Amino acid sequence: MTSENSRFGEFIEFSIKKKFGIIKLNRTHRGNAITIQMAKELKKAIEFCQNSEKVRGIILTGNGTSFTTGMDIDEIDGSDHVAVKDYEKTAASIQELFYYGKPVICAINGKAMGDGVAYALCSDYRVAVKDCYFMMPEINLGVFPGTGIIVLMTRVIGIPWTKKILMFAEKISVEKALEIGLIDQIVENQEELLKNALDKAKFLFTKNQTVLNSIKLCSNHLADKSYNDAYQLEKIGSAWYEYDDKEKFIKDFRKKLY
Amino acid sequence: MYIMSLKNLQFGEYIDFTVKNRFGIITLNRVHRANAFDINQFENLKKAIKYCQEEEKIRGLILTNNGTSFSTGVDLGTIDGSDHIAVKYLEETAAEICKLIYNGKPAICAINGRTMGEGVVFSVCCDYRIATKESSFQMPEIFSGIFTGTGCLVIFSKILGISYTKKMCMFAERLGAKVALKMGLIDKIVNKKEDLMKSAFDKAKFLSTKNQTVLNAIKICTNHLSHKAYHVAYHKEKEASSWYEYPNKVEFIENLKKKFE
Repeated sequence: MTSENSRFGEFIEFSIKKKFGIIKLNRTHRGNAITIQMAKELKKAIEFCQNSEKVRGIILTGNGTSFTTGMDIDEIDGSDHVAVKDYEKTAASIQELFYYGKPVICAINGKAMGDGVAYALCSDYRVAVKDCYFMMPEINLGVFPGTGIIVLMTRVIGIPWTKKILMFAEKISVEKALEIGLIDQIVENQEELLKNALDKAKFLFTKNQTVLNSIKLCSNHLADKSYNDAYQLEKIGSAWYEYDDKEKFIKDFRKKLY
Repeated sequence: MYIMSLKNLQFGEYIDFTVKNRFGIITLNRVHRANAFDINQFENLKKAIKYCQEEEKIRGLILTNNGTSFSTGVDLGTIDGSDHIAVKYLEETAAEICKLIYNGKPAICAINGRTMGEGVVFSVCCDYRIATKESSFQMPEIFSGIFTGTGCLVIFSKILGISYTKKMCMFAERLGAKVALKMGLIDKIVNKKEDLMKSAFDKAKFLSTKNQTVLNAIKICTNHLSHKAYHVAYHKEKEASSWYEYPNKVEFIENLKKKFE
């Protein structure tokens, strides 16, 4: 690995292709389970993509056979509430960066647990290999999944499936994940996975970025508002061409949605 | 298996009640009228649910039925539609039942057979819904020009989404178990009545062995955060995730409910 590839730390591989930042989770000896250090490295890589003018979006994927198994419970004891809270804070800001930021494609290379499910939920397009599955085992440990995941899950896949996953810790197959809207596409193998993610990235980076980012913001943030309030916000999005500085326009639009 | 004495726990002639696996088992029992609700049964059902919510030994409830209908909704034969005071009281009681289930302890619904009107509404309020394969679901109120004003539209649009809410409440479509599963009206189909209760007890057992504060906090967040702005909702989720900071967990859950409703 070149130093350029590991500039955000030992557990995150980074490169840029098709104007998309490719972030690879790389802690394969632990099934890409996330430590506090790794979460901070991931956050740095995402922040770089959000702030770099050259980068138009993100592909998040993993090395090895797991996408991620979530918070590393060997490093963070589930009953150590202060440590869990510290981890939660970083994980929550990662989700927020994804949900409010540039387009994100999630290429799920294997089983996704805990935060792996959360990252899939806040991405805009989710491709997964056919032998992966999804699970939130936190309730078995008495851990409350407090990174904003309940907020995200109820709006992306609805209340009944959120309950099956969070209250009953049901394991969700890749086919079921596609049916309920947790992912958007299933592929045969790892090669297909990255190829399809890059195809989608190529589609997105060739489009009008202001319009694209406005659509993302509206799609994520209007469903919870009254019709009139939501329509006023949509009108701001549709008046994008009136603003000279498009980047500032998107930044200001984002702030209005907080 | 611990079964609480039935003698002290009677809620009236149309409600059977027992406690198993720390779950209150409430069985609708007015089979001669296909479990259609009269005001008496509504009141008794409310009492039984309230008992489960207030009793510390009970961690959740299973709502099920005797006979081959889960419930055919309000018994129009026992209510004079032009008696607005009676109709209003009935509606208010049904609305209170909905709120008790939606905001209360985990609830599992075990459905055997035809489910109509308030029967559908009460099942939608539950957290896990299992139905036998012959079960069907219908909201026939529009045929009689009745507005379903028990909180039904609020809950349907949240749980099933706008399209399916319209199919049910505007077009009164009768839906089979398979379609109900697909649209999120139920969570599981079983072949026969025996499998129904086994499956419901399995789910109850799963829930009763978990951290009850975390479980109830997840339920409250799941039911109440999807229609708030992301940031507002996330701040509320953070309040729930601080559960361990409160010495009195029961009081914490009660306060959380009040804040979220």
